[in-house]
Amino acid sequence: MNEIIKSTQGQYSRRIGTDRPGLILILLDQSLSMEDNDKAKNAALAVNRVIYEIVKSSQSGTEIKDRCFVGVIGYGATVTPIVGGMIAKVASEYLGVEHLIQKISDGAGGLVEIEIEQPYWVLPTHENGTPMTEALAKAYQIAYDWTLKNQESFPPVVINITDGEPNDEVSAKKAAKKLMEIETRDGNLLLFNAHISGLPGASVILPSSNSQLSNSYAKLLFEMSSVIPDSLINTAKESGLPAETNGRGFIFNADTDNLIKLLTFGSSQFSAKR
Amino acid sequence: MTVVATSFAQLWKIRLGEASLGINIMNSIIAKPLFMCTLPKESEDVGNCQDACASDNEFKRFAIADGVTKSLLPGQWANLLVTYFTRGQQQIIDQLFKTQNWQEWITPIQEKWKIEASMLLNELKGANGIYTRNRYVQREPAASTFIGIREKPNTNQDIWEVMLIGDSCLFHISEEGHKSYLISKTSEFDSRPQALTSYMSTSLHQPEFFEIKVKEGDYLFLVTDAFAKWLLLLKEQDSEKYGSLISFLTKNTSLTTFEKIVASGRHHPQFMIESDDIGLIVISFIRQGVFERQKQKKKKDDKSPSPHLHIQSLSWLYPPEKIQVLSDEYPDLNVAPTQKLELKKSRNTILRPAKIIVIIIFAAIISIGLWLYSYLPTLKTFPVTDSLIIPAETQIYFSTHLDSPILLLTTSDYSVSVIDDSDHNWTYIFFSAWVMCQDQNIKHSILTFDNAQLAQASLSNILNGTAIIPKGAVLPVFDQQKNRNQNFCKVSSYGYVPR
Repeated sequence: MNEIIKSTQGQYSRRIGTDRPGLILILLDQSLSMEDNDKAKNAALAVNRVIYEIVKSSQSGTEIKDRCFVGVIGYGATVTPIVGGMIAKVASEYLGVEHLIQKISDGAGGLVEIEIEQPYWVLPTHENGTPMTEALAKAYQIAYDWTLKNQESFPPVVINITDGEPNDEVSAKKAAKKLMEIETRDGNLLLFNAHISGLPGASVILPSSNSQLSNSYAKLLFEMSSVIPDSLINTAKESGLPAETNGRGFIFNADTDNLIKLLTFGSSQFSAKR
Repeated sequence: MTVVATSFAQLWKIRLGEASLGINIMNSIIAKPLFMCTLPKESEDVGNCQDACASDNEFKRFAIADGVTKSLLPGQWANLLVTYFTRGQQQIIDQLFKTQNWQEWITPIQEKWKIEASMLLNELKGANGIYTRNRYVQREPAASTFIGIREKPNTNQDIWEVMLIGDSCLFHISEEGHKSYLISKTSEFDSRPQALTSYMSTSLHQPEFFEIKVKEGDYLFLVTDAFAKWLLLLKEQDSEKYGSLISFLTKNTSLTTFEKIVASGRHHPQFMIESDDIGLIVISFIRQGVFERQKQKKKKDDKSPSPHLHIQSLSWLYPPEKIQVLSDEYPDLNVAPTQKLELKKSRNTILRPAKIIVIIIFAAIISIGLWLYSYLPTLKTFPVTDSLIIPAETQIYFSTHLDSPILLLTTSDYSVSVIDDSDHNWTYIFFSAWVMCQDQNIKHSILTFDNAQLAQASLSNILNGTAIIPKGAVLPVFDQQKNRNQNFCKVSSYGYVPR
């Protein structure tokens, strides 16, 4: 097991800014099985939400500052970049806008109804197998090139959302190991995995050992996940996740709520307050 | 063009340390502002700086605020907070410290922010408009840390009242030791500091109110988090470096050198300043009358410590070989070390005929370029020589956001005038000026704008950290040291008007 994780060495303390931009990649399983139980729909919803939050956090005054590169890579029938670019570009290249009615506090104890325009970038898709290895390889290519130019930045974060076994477990494990070896001066790349089943059942959240995991596929994803750096444990807790020392960035059987929490945690450095 | 470019490169938001505080009886302690500025994040321009600071000499108040970037329109909020604190009516601030009812104090500031935000939203188009409007209708607040200090009325002028919230720090430097409020260790900084917010319902945080007693020789630093954390990091890990930096900041701070310190710190391999805006106010406490005597003594006494010794003590920040050149060859600290190296090199170079020809051709090209440039319709410079009095090596940045087009620039005695010119569709004016003092002895004296006078000149608002100057306003300049306007500085100024 330890051969896979080089361990998350580094400070993980650099703030993301235009002078030290960050990189976040989301790998989104779009295989046929994502059709069941609204998994594709919920995953797309969660990804759209996290991009929206990153855009909001990149606003300085009324401008959107290029503080990070955001990429979404879908894998199913093919491995396809769905979103890719510096955040100001991504912010203006949404697919469409949904008009949502929300109720918010009016500040005087009551509720008031408001309408907002919610941009979206990712649509639910589901087709064919699970070419996770190829998606990880694509992420490697992007992250490697990026770190060559951004050694002073917070390390890249890659979040993989999947519901099923990869086409080839061995090669996926190798690709994950290679990906996690990418580093900046602030630490190694962080690879987090969210397994969504869409079925009722207890989630295993940020486990620190694989003993809680019942099947070999879950153990594989555990091994493919980075140890959460000590400096980010509090951040994980603030995102609503029960983080402990040596916990892995991995949720097994995640419901939509937990998926959003993991995405929120994974993107926390990109939506940090300043 | 080079001059204009240079002046623009250094258009930091700086509001000058207003004059030391009022008329005090001999031997009473007075607060003397040494330095005040905000710097944007590296590679970002001054318009994106969310830190703000302000002071008022009449009311003896200083304030610094660090707008939380993730919040909505934090720069506007931070500016409103420091402005309302330093320029608010005396009775309102008295009430604030007496009752500690900060909610009452902040309510009109919140209303003002909402008005400014809604005005701004009406102008926004495209993607930026969607995100900002969503946030506004969702009642997302602006947030900012805040430190406001003022001299406690009816005391011996040695008690200062403090209102503080968040991770901006107040450092009290005295012989007895260095204290920092409220954070005293680097480990106490986190990513979610307490803050004042623009909606009361979301403002769950409470500012702290307390008092500090100062004495002659003390210093107060008001510092936003990145620089405060760096100071504390040095204090924890290398007291010698920390001491050298504090010593430098209390003796030699100028905008140019401070920028160099920050630039070096942002790339220091061991002690790195985090990527963030930076705000700093340094105030010294002296006995009334002592300052004059010290200056006179310094003139006569060549053995007084030279400022070069202080900059040498920062060799851990600057490359040592450049420091050597700086202190040995060029006593003027206001020139960048790199420029001084170039000067030294050129002095030792023998000019050969071929080189002279090249230089002549080059000079001719430059002259023609400048001549052509003067006819460019989209850019205009205004060389002006006049007698505006401002601190040595300080730059002033005025950015107007008025609806009516305005054109500078005339200067009259001790003032800058702003004149309406409706024939041109210009929306911004940038005006920078710097001082070349004829008298070197007054080089480091504090000459500042008088805020009371600014107020009388109908200074209507503060936006993005820059003064909004109504047309026809006259901004007098005041020499606190002699308590009257003086005419011993020559000013070269250049205006730049983009169309």
